[in-house]
Amino acid sequence: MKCPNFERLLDYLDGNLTADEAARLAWHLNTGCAKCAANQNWYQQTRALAASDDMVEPPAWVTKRALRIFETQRPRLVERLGQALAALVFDSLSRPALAGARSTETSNRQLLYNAGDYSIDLQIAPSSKASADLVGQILREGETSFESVANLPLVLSSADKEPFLATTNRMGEFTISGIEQGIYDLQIETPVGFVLAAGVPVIQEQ
Amino acid sequence: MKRKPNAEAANQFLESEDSALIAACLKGQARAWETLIYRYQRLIYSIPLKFRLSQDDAADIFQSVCLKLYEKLESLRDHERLSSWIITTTMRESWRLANRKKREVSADEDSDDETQSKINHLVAEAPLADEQRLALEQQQAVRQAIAALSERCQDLVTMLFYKKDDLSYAEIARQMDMPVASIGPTRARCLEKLKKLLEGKL
Repeated sequence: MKCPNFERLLDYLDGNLTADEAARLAWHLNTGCAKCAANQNWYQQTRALAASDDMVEPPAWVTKRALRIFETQRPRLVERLGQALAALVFDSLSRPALAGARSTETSNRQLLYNAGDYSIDLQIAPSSKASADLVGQILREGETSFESVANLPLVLSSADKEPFLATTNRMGEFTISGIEQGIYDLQIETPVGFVLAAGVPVIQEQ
Repeated sequence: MKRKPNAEAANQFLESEDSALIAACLKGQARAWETLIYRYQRLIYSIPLKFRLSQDDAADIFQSVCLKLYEKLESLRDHERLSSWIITTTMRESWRLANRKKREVSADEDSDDETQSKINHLVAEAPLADEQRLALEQQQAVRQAIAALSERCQDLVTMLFYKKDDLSYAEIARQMDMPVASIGPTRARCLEKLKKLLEGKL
């Protein structure tokens, strides 16, 4: 006998077959068919789990009270995670040049900031004598899907200048062009709070 | 068959994995939080009751575990099995409360025999056994997989699996407003989907 289809096997396990049909199916199962045995085990285990499941639904007010946690605690979460100050961990200008190395590298200045599991990779490229373009990417450690770095609003600001507003693309990248050279603060609004890279030198040399 | 009014109708998060729900919560989406709470409400509320705590105590523990869950969202975002974290946390809270109650009554010399006996009844000697814990985790997995089925399949599987009285196919057909002859094939299709959803989870 070939394998019974799933529906027939279920009928057998629920005792819905005639004696003859059930005997034929039992004979098949006794041949040691691994596929049918796996289906049989799965069905019996799942039914047993459901039958022994005595979990009860809480009263509606209990659930509603827990739903309110979201609105009451969210400001605290934002405040607690608050504004993480990103630390500068790499600046291509402060990296010592290798002995004998020619200065053929890109003229872009590279900076890397870290805050918790976020990192901010910045490249500053001169666009004219007095201005530069800032190209950056925000990454989150251990994340390959860019889920929590996509579409983040960010502000590049300096006390006496008009702020630049931008949003990261789906890869966490952004570009701000034509920035007057100077020292800026870069504030990024992440899902877990603000990250601030303070004193970003949008200048080629210090 | 009518849906319950509090069912999470038209909720885009219903089939989302826990990690996606947590990420959405962190982005400020209240609907994701709602889905998480509805998904785990039975599990959280039932554990204190297994410790023979009162319904009021279970309600307090429910709130406290949900608050902890919210506070831990960030660190739980990559947690593979949220149900496991929930079971551990709820058991710990229940265990702590059961023990405290026991101590309070033992210290109160004036408490009557009836109160003493009630308190001694609390399962405070041992946390839930490993088998019970595993069963809870698997029962939760089955419920979650059923919730990810189509509405029709959910209704059918719930009637077949969770109704205490065995319903005849004729009765199920009547309640679901479908021909008796379709119950068998529909059941097989729904259970095949359920089996797929539960792959690697039991």
